[in-house]
Order: sequence, then C-alpha cells, then structure tokens
Amino acid sequence: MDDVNLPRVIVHRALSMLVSLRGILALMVALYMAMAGAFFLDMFMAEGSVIGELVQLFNDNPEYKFQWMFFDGALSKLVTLFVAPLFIFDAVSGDRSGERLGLLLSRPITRTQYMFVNFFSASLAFGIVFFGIMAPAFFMISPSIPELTFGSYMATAALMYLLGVFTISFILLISALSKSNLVSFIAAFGIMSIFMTPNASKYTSDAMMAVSKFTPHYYATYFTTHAVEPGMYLLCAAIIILMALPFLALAILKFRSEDL
Amino acid sequence: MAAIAIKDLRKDYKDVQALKCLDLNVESGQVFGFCGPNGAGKTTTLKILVGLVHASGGTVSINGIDVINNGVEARKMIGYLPESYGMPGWDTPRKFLTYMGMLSGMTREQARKAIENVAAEINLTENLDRRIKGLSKGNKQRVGIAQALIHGPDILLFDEPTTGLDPIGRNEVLDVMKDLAAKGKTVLFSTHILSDVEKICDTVGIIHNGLLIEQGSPEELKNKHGAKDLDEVFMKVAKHG
Repeated sequence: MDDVNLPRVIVHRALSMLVSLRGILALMVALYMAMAGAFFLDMFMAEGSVIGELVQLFNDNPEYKFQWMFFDGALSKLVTLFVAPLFIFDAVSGDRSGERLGLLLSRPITRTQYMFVNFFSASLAFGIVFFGIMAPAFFMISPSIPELTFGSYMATAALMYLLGVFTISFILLISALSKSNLVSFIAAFGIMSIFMTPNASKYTSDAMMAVSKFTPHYYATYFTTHAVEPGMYLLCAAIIILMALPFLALAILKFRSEDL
Repeated sequence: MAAIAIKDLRKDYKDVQALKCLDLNVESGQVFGFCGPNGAGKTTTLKILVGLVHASGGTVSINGIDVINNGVEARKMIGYLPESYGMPGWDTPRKFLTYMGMLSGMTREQARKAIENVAAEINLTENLDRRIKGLSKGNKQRVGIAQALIHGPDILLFDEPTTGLDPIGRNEVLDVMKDLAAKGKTVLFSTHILSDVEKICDTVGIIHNGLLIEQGSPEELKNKHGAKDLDEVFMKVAKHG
C-alpha cells in the first residue's frame, strides 16, 4: 500500500468543510461582514451627513483613506478573527469528544500528519472563503480610491490571511488541549474577541494602543493606510509566521505524547 | 512467523499497572478470542497494537514489523474497530469510507472500488448513500467494520465488536469475522461474550490483571479445566488468576 498522499487528503478535507454546514456558516458570516461594511460605507459617505463630513476631513489627510481602512482594517480583521476559528476550533477536540480519534489514527498516518491535515485543510478552507470575499471587495471599493492598486490591496489581504493562519495554529493548540468542543469553542472565540478589542480601540485609547502592540493584528493593520513596502511587508509576513510556528509545534508535541 | 507477537508488554498509568509483562502470539489466519474481565487490559493491548497508547516497555510486532518504532508500516496491515467510536452522522457511509480510504493512502478511485467490494462483502451496499446517523446500530457497526477493511489489511483487531448488538446483529458480525478468517485474514477480537468465542475462535487467550493466564483452543481449555463450556473455564481461571 502507498503512503498517504497528504496534499490530496488536505484538499479533500478542505472541500468537505466548505460544503458542510460549517462552510456555509463561514461564508454567511464573511458575506454579512462584507455587506455590513458596504452598507456602513455608503451610510458614512452620504453627502451632507455629519459623519460624511468627518470622513471627508479624515480622508483629506494623505495618510488615511477611510474606505480603505474600513474594508481592510475592519472587514478583513473581522473575517479573520471570526471565520478562521470556525474551521479549526473542533479539529482535535471534536474528534476526541466524538470518539473518532481511534478510527482516524488507526490509519497508516502519524499523529503529526493528522495535525498537519487539520492545520492545512483549515488554512485552505479559510483561504478560499477569505479571498473569495476580499477579492471582489476590491472591485467594490477601488472606484472611490483610484490610487489603490489590486497588488497592494491583495498584498495587505495576504498579510491578513497569514494572521488567519496564525489564528488557526493558535486555536489548534486550544483544540488539542481541550477535551470538549464547547470549551474549545468558548476559548477560541473568547480569545479572538480579546485580540479584537485593542485594535478596535487603539485610535482612542493610549492604554489600548500599548496593548495592541502585543496583538498580532497590530502588525497588519498598521499598514492598511500606508503604502505597502516590500521589505516591511515581508518582515511582517515573517513575524506572523514565526508567531504561528510555536503554537503549531506545541499542539503537535502535546498530541504526540498523549495516550488516547 | 506469528502475525501478532507481543513480548513482555507493559503499560503503567499513573498509579495503575494495566499490563504486566504480557506475552501473546497469534498465528496467521487464526480467529483469536481475547477474553478477560473488565479492566484486565484487553483494550489497552489492542490500543498499543494500533499505536493509540504508548507502551511502557516490551516489544510488539505485526508480521515481523515493530509496531512501536514503525507504527505507520504496521498499521498498513491492520484494520481496527474500537469498542466505542463515533462517525460523522451527517456524512454517508460512502463519504466517510472514502476519507478513511484516502487516509490509508488510496486514491479516490481506489477507495471507490474498495468501498463497493467491502460493502458487498458485509451487506452494506444498500445503505452506502444514507446518512450514518439514520442507520440502525447493526448497520452502523457494519460501517465500522467496513472502515477497518477498506484498505485490505491482513490483520483485524476488533474490540468488543458484538457488544450492544441484538442476537441477529451479533451473529452477522460473527459470520463476517468467520468469513474473513476463511479468506486468510487474522482476526483478534476482545469480548465478554464467551459463547461468541466458542462459536468462531481457533484460539482463546484469557487475560487477567494485565497478564495472559491461559491460551489454547476452546476444547483444550475446557479439557484442561474439566469444564463444560468456556464460561466455566473463565470463572475458574479468573477466580484463581
């Protein structure tokens, strides 16, 4: 018998997740955020409104573009924080509590491979939903921001995607530690909500600004209103990946040593 | 060469010694009944064979391949049905078995063919496209057996496969195991139901407190202990073991 073909299994699992209830829910959450973003954008930009005028003032500052910041800083952050966990929170805890681990790990695969299948299939499924929403969003916002190029937009989106992958590695660890899906769910979404808070408040609170430096999303949202410079972009990407690796390694190490 | 060879196998949990130098050999093509009271170490032994539990000491091999150091190669030859297990209820058996086949190194096409063959073998064909959660307990057990057979293993490890089934379901599972042995597969199954053992087993092993205290054919054991059936043998052995 051949060895397991991991890429084939990963693609199969990712597609299965996307056509499941979970995939539909993820798509709906992402779509809702995109539509809510578009709605608020229209509402805020309405001529003659107070907020519209504030936005205009804000946009007059060459460093900021409200629309761009909103979509990239808020929409993609929300999608990242609340959609990525959907694909991973029950990866190990669900198989454990659903008594599926015995069946799955009796196949000729190592536990590390099992964890890789979970990690990469969640990353792939999340990537399909994320870019499936973010790419069309460019065509919605680009008419009002002529200087925005598809390349810089997608580069920043890719950074956000990497943050999603970081989220997945972090929550995979929670899932590997947890014996219950509910605990894993609450821990995953609770912690992601905490990550969200400093970003939401950082322009209004010095204290939160300090905290936000410790959250991974700081590194990406920092660039949303600035030109994306290749060197800094790559540095950001490297930082995010380096932050993800210890969580992934810990999840694998914990799971490898466990008696099931 | 024994299909399954276990020597001096130990498993220590925090404050419990689940297995104490267990020695066990199962010859190729045999149906081996692995019996013992609750907590004797049956499930632990099977889980070590599949790599779900780490052994504290000793050696375990499957067709000569060291399970502890080369688990992936060993598991290519093993089909395992745990005592209790779950399957994704919203999936159909076909979808679930395809995934299990792919995890065993099969392509989707190979898995598709294997599913048809295995389903025909264990009378699952007409339920392949129904949701698992809607299947009867007996049919769910068939899906469980199918996932153990999907990659064509030589050695089958079934942990209490007949527990919780009605007499018809039980007999069907026993027939499947007998058929598999007739096709040259080695079957090791643990059970409390000694009448099942008498019906289909070539060899019986009785484990007690982590040690194998008896091994032989049902007839040999009955003669040795002057017992009329295996229940009586079991009671005598467990009492003195």
